[in-house]
Amino acid sequence: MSFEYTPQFDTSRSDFVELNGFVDGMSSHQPSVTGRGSDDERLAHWLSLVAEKRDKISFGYLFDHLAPKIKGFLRKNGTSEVSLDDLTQEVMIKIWRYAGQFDQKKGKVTTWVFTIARNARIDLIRKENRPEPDVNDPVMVNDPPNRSDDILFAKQTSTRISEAINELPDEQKEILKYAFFEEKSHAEIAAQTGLPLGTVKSRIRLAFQRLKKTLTELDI
Amino acid sequence: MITHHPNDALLLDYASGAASEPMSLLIATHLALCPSCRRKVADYEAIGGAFVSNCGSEKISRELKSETLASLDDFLDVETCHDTSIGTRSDEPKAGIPQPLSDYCGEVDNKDVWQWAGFGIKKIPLLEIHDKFECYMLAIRGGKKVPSHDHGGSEWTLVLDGAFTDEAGHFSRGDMVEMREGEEHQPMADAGKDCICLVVAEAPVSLTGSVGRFLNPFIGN
Ligand SMILES: [Zn+2]
Repeated sequence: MSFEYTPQFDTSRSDFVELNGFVDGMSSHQPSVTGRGSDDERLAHWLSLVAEKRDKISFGYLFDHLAPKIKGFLRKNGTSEVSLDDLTQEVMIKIWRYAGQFDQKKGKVTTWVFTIARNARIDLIRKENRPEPDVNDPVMVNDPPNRSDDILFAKQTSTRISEAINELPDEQKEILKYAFFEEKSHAEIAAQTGLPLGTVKSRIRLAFQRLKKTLTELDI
Repeated sequence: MITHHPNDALLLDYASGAASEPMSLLIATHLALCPSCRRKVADYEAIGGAFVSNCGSEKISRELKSETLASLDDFLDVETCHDTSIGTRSDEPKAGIPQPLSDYCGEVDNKDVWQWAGFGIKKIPLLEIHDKFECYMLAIRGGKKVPSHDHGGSEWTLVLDGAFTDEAGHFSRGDMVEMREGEEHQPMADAGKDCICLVVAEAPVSLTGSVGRFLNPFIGN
């Protein structure tokens, strides 16, 4: 996927429309296939200026938009009040430091930020390692050329993924919330809810099938 | 060609960050060998991103912002390390232990890292401090049959070299098999080559449990 980026918007804060939360329901149904002018595009634009020009003004915009959400996410994940500000700051500084590693072809800024926040929690709060494959490892098995285009969700805007999640049956949505907001494994979800392990597993599988179907249909 | 993949629930645990270090090591090692599961994990992370972007806005103090902005000068150079375009593209799987596992197990070609466990089985214990899971590399001599055993908890086996066959099928490099509590199997390594696996097992409650009975005589220290 080659993608010539042209800014489609004024980077001032005035035209910035916040996404609605899951609880509030979604109101913006913009049929934008490319996502131009979306939140995702703005964030990617600011991040590219941070990466290429070390632009602190763009970082300020990123901070204003992302820090409140990161802090909210970390709180939902059970980060204690005393660590919340420190960890939010840590994640924002990582965004500044590693801005050059973000690859718009592989996904959205919010996805990348999620992985940074997740890893910071594991590293600094749980004090564990999270092993990851190394893209420079010669042993790594890579996609044959032209296959990387079927990362389905990477092409969708955050708004559309959020809408698709919103449309899931409550029982499936609930399990994704346990996973992403409470950092519970499927076995822990089963133990906490009293559901059989097999039920939790099948709800996870069904949730993904359904999301995939919704997002594929939107694409046509 | 990988035909046995981790289930969606295990991939979700890895993507959400809920997986323990031994389970993450197991999944990450499979991911190094399996582009299609990597794509799934990327999809799940995009769902994580949607959850972040839908988090209600918390108040951020002015001090936190100014403190953060003030510390940016400590990191003026942008840190790039990955150039993903360099990655070798090939349908031909290469041999060898992938990262991140090689960081944990050392050089498996070096005989000294293996502990003999008798009956044609060798092992390398990994992550021994973990209280919920046992994690080890296992080498079954080509053509050898592992004594029939059942499982006191779930157990996951990822094949890295060679292959084995059991009641459920044939498993070779990159394949991952899950055995549930109470399930029984008798894996037999294909002739001609040692079968090297990464195994993660829920820790036995006591050493007299079924896992313990199996591990003690054959794989135990
Ligand atoms: Zn796979």
